[in-house]
Amino acid sequence: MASHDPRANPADSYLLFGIAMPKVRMITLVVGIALAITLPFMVSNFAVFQMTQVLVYAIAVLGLNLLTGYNGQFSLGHSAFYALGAYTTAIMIDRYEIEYYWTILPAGIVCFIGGFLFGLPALRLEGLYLALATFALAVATPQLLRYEHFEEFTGGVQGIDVFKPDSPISGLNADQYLYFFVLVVGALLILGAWNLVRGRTGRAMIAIRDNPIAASTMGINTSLYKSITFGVSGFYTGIAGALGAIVAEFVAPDSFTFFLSVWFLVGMVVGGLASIPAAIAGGIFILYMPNVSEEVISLFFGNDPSAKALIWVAFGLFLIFTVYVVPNGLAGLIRQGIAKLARRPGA
Amino acid sequence: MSESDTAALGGAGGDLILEVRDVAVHFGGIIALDGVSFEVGRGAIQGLIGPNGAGKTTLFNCLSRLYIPTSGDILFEGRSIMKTSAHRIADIGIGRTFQNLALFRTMSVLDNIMVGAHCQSKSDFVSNALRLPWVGREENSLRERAWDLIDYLELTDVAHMPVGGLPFGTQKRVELARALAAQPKILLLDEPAGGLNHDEVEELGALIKQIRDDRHITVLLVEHHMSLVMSVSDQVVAIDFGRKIGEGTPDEVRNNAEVVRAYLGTTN
Ligand SMILES: Nc1ncnc2c1ncn2[C@@H]1O[C@H](COP(=O)(O)OP(=O)(O)OP(=O)(O)O)[C@@H](O)[C@H]1O
Ligand SMILES: [Mg+2]
Repeated sequence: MASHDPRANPADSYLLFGIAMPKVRMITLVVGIALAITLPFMVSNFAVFQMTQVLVYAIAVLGLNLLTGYNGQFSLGHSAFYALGAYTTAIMIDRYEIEYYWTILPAGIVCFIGGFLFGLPALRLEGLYLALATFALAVATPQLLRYEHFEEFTGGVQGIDVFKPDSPISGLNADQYLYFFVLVVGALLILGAWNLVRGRTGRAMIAIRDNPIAASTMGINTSLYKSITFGVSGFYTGIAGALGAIVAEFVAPDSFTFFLSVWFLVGMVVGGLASIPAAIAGGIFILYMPNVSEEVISLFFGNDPSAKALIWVAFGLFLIFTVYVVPNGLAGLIRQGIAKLARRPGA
Repeated sequence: MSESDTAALGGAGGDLILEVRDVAVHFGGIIALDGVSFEVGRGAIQGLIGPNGAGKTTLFNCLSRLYIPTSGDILFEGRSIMKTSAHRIADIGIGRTFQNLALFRTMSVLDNIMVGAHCQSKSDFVSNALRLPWVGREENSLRERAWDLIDYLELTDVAHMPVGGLPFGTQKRVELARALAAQPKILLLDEPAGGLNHDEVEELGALIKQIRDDRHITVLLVEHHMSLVMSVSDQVVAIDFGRKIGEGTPDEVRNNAEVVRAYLGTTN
């Protein structure tokens, strides 16, 4: 046998269908990237639009996951950060005629500040109380956006129209171009999150989740870390909102109700806590699951209009089923599957 | 190092690393500490004994700034720590383990130990997210140090496993490694022998001495395991009901009438 590095992770030497695990991960990544690049040329414009929306949701779910999955803080208020990001972009484009691509980072920064400032007082709140405080944020936000004295900026109930950017690249139509724009932003954010959770800061975030007192004794400034994590989470979700505004070509108070927060939460749980790839699964789930439920119902009940009411019942049942069968989300399911199928070399 | 050398280091009048002055802690009506004073000499291994509920862990929590004393003062290297926040304590050189394990359960042994070195590193959110070159170098040196401790405490086989599922004795060693990763000047050990078998306790005794001798770390040891405390300590302080009842060399404390009555008499 080849010389064995005693410091290597034994799990990395395992083989999946005869292929070493690091190689399996590499292949998965390459196939994933290849699919992400080629798929938009093979499907309809509407499907490309949907894929773009999936990416937007995935970024928002990733933001929530950094907060909840990695740092253990709950939020039912992420629709507020999404809205803040969306309105920042919409106002910059519509009122100040700034090019859309210059608005993404500012939207993220505004939401970082918002998240950080919200995170400071929220430090005193644990678990359910934090959930309630963030719930209040989610409920208040659409009302604020509707508030008539802000109408000059927010457009009140009407909201703001955002024009879809033209494609500057020949060979790409507007939908495809926007998809790739969002893909690049999303890829950078995923890379950043990946670096973050693997380094000193990520370890500190997880340490705080696992045992805050020990974390503080190890020299981690837990209050500062928790507020910054809130800010970073807001940054991600705010950028998702900014991109979402451009994709939807429109912002209005009613797009950002408390339900959007719940969707992010559902996407995060179904995808899997404390996992970065899980965010994409979460995004897919948020976008397609309502459609799938609708298909399933029409499969059984045809076009009977009264069956429409059953769509959400089907969705609910499916959700319960998912949580029951894969309590650790899709990411957990895949981890379990690999653990079952992978073999020690030579075994 | 000969016995007389270490005794001199720990002796009065020498270089004091820790001074506990008249510390009292009240929890509502409960008086957990009632004006305790003692000193720890640099380079000493000092035992802190006392029956259940005597206030030993409470004192450790004051030293870690997890509890705020009702009155009194604590000096570390001659400076009061009464205004130092809990997360700065590791930085100034006070490390500890916990009586009832306080590990990061989902994290691997390696990562737990690397968190221990948090105060020895400084990369922030932005530099980490961008993975700037110096962050990679810092990461490598932290990992190198963690591996040294993993080898030192014989944790190599479990280094990549989540600590939550490891045997109790192994978890105790991970806690020790995590505390050492911060390169503390003083190490507070809260019942490190709890739950260990006879052989493990003997190894632990040797290890504690080694840590002091090789790494020049002062040790304050809370332990119910009398033969361990008495064999490794240069000095022993005994407390009961939040008050100091005796102090001196292991032999002196062993023969102190009040200590015998409060503690040794009931266990031996
Ligand atoms: N957070 C707290 N709130 C209220 N009472 C406390 C708290 N922490 C400790 N006490 C009380 O203070 C007293 C001292 O407890 P402490 O844990 O310091 O004892 P100990 O000497 O470490 O005992 P043991 O040997 O059992 O670990 C006990 O009566 C305990 O119940
Ligand atoms: Mg105790």
